[in-house]
Amino acid sequence: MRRFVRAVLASIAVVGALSTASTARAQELELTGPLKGAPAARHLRLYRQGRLELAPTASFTLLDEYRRTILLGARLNYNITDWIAIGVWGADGAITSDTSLATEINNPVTGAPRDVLTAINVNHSNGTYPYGGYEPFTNQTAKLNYVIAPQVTFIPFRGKLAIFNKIFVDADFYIAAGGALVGIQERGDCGASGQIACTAPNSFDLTSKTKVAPTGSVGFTFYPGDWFSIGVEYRALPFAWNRAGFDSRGSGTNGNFPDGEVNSKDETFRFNQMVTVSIGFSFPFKPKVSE
Amino acid sequence: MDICQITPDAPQCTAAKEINFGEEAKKKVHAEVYAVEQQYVIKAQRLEIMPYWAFTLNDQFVSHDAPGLALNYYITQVLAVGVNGNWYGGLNANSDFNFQNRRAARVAVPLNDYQASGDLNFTYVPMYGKFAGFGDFIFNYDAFLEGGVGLIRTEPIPVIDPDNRKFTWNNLVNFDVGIGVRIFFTRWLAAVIEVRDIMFFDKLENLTIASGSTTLSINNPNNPLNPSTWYSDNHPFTNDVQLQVGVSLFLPTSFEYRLPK
Repeated sequence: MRRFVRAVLASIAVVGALSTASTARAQELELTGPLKGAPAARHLRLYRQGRLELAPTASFTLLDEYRRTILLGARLNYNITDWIAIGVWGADGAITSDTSLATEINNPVTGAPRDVLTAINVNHSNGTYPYGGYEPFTNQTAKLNYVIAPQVTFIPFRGKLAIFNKIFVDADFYIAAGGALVGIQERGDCGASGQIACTAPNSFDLTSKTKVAPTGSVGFTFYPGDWFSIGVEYRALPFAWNRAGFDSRGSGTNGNFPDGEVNSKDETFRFNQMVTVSIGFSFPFKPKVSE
Repeated sequence: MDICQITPDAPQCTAAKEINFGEEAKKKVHAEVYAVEQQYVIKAQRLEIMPYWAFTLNDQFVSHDAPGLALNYYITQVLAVGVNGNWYGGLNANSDFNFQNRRAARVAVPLNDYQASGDLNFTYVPMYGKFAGFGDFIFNYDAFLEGGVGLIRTEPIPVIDPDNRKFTWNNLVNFDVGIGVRIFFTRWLAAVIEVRDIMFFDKLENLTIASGSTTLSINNPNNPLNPSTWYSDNHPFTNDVQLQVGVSLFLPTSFEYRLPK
């Protein structure tokens, strides 16, 4: 602990010294006594080093505007050492549900009027659907279909946790970063020369696209046993997409006004956050133990 | 040579005359030794001062970030009673997404600003542990659960009929629950990260506008200026989920263990 505090204080001192642009002279700290040169911990169970981890995952999207998604998938990691791993996370947007706003837009009484004012933005085709006979708004909201994310995982902290002074589990904290191929479906382009008019009912059909995005996550892994673990992680997957299928940009000052077309200008940047829970299985089953 | 021949009054020699070691050896024993390590921080009878910043986690329409302060007194090592308060005034941020949605779909979402909240809380610390950072330094942490009751002041942002509706702040009873982690830098200073849910029944703007003229009597239910027509009859259960990041200072800054190491 003292070494940590010293490291923090030393960092502050270095920053301070650099900011004053004066000559600084480092002070060498030397530990003496029987603990000199000893590791911080002995006989550590190396839950990661040299092991392959396969972890089924369930990811729940956060702060969704129109459609919530539960992605089911798996993470495959090879842990080169106890502090760095390479792997891939892949998931499928298997389960989706409407947000209350999407439900409200569908409401035949208080929801979006299906008239000339909204004709470009809300499907007004009258068929045999519920919601007053109109095609549900849900059918035009974008979907998160799949994610494939190769990533590097860095594990700076590991330790243990006591619960009620009775249950003791080993745990680690990790940071992962990588790139992602994200398969989405969003409303197709319309309204431009040679394209279908944006008021046409079939202009609200979803088309498949692939986005390339950075992705990063932080999480905890708990090790109740030698060969299995429980994880919880927060992940961000930032990219721009048109979640509602609206024409909201493209003309006027800074392109902030609708232009009668739906295209990439109507995509807005979003952080796309999610929380993932996982159960991991490590191979070989028995972890190594440090000196 | 037998030690008891030299010092016959040594305790083990006098005890040996009274105890039959042969009989004692036949007794069953629980061959377990508990090595109990001292906890890094003793919290009992100490005051925790915790300034923090709260970030909205679950409101995509209006974010309610706020500075806050918590004061907790630890009655025991694992149980504290305290108060905390947040100030949201001037920091509510109405998302551009609301406007885009209103313009495109002609559907308005009732929006509320928050001004302040305060709660009386109990904190329970069931978990503690330590981590090794980069395989080098070791730091200690604990995890806590908290729950309490208090008040939050909210006010609708008039989006349905902004010409006629001038809302004022409402005092609403709230319940809050949270889970957090404290990472100790010293025995009196820690970093804190907590997820807290402030729950209450909010008062929202009415989605329908009274259909009469503003020249009617102010108490007329058809007058859009009548304040009794401004609020929705529904008081939806609202969760304001926050991520709170701050520091924790324990006073007094030093303490003594009851038993030596």
